[in-house]
Amino acid sequence: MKPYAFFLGCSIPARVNHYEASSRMVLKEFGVDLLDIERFSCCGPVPLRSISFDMFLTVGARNLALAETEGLDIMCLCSGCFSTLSDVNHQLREDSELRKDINKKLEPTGLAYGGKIAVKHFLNVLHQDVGVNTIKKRIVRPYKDLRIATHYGCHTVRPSKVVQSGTIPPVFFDELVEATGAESVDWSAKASCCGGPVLGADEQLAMDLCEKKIADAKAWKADFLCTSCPFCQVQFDSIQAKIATDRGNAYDLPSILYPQLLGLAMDMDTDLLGIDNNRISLDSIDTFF
Amino acid sequence: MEPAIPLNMNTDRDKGFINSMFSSIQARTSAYCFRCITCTNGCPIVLNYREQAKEKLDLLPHQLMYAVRLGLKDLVLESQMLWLCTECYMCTEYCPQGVHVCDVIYELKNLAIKERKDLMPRGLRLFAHALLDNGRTAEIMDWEREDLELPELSGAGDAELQELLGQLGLPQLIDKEGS
Ligand code: SF4
Ligand code: SF4
Repeated sequence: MKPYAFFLGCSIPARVNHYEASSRMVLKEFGVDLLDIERFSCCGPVPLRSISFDMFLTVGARNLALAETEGLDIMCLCSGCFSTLSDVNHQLREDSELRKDINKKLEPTGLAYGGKIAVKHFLNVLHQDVGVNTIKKRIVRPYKDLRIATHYGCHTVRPSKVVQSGTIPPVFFDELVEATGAESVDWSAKASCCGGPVLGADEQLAMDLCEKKIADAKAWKADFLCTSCPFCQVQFDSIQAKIATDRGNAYDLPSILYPQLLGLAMDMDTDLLGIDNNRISLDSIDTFF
Repeated sequence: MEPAIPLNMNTDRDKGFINSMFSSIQARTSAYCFRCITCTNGCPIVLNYREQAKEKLDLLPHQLMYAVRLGLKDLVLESQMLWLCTECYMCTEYCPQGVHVCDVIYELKNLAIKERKDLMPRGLRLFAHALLDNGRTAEIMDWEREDLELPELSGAGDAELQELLGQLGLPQLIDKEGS
């Protein structure tokens, strides 16, 4: 299998390094190789699109062009990066005039966008390239009676035309969670937003959205939330802790990153999976083996 | 009840605004809106504020789409909905008419920043400054990376990004001092 150009983005190395650590470990076990590209930058995320669509496209195109020169598809861990790069790829593939225009802006960098590569999310790589059956075979410590509230994250699955998330509603993340022996529960707020994108604009609003989701997951008797995006994880971990202090509403519903959930079921090193790096302790997971 | 959109529109309509909006593929989709309100009914921000939604957000998503079509530029650009939209794409996903509601909102924000610097929220300004000053949105936690045995990050891409954003005119767009 060809390696993936590994797109890290800025949020993970600043806040959720354990997402990267656990993902690298799990992918290595399944023989998925990653190439680190030094010249990759910030993806040019949604706030940049709010400021200028042209700048958003140019920054995204520069990153896509870098992977193109290596002849590799991109894999993102962050749903924000995944959404940005998928969107830029989509817009520039559809509109040849726009592509010409953006390539002109890229000229000083010596790079050019040709629309030749695909952008995938980490979960897509696990689901499509590795496959649920292969994952199941590698589970040595399956979970028992563990109820997981699976959180896809808006930008992993919408708009479905751009990110090609398969079925509507999507099922791939539920299948990955259930491969570990856990149960992916139904919950009303499953598809709704974690509140992450408005954290900078209005913290109370971000906390409102986050609290609603956590309360709903709790009402559906979930033991853990499960995420695959640094922004969603920060909301459910650090912001949940802040909701407990500021608002006096302690839900005590820890959020585990998917590669941590998988890595523990594969009996990997808990230190390197960064189990202790979560704000809200994951220790209670031991009672579900 | 007060009408959300003023009924006497002759004075406030801006034809240039309609034309400039409709020059982009995404924004043009707002012309297909038949005001079914699906977008607003599924919007988490509207749902969060409930009865106070109009007071907090000014125009709700379906009203924004319609006001664009009517050319009510100031009403649209001064609407708080633009800056509190969480870009969740619920509206776009479920609009029966294929209106790219969220993308139209992005476009409106671009226009607001270009024409009315006073409307740009502080958070967005801080974000732009971080990108221009450091080439990334947040500082790397080096010690944590070392603990987890993760590779060191060279910063090569950060420097290139700073240069590119300079060439593209981000400092001028946000009125950064010294630009
Ligand atoms: S869902 Fe679509 S057609 Fe319905 S009001 Fe919203 S934009 Fe208009
Ligand atoms: S993208 Fe914005 S307007 Fe659309 S549903 Fe989400 S928050 Fe509401």
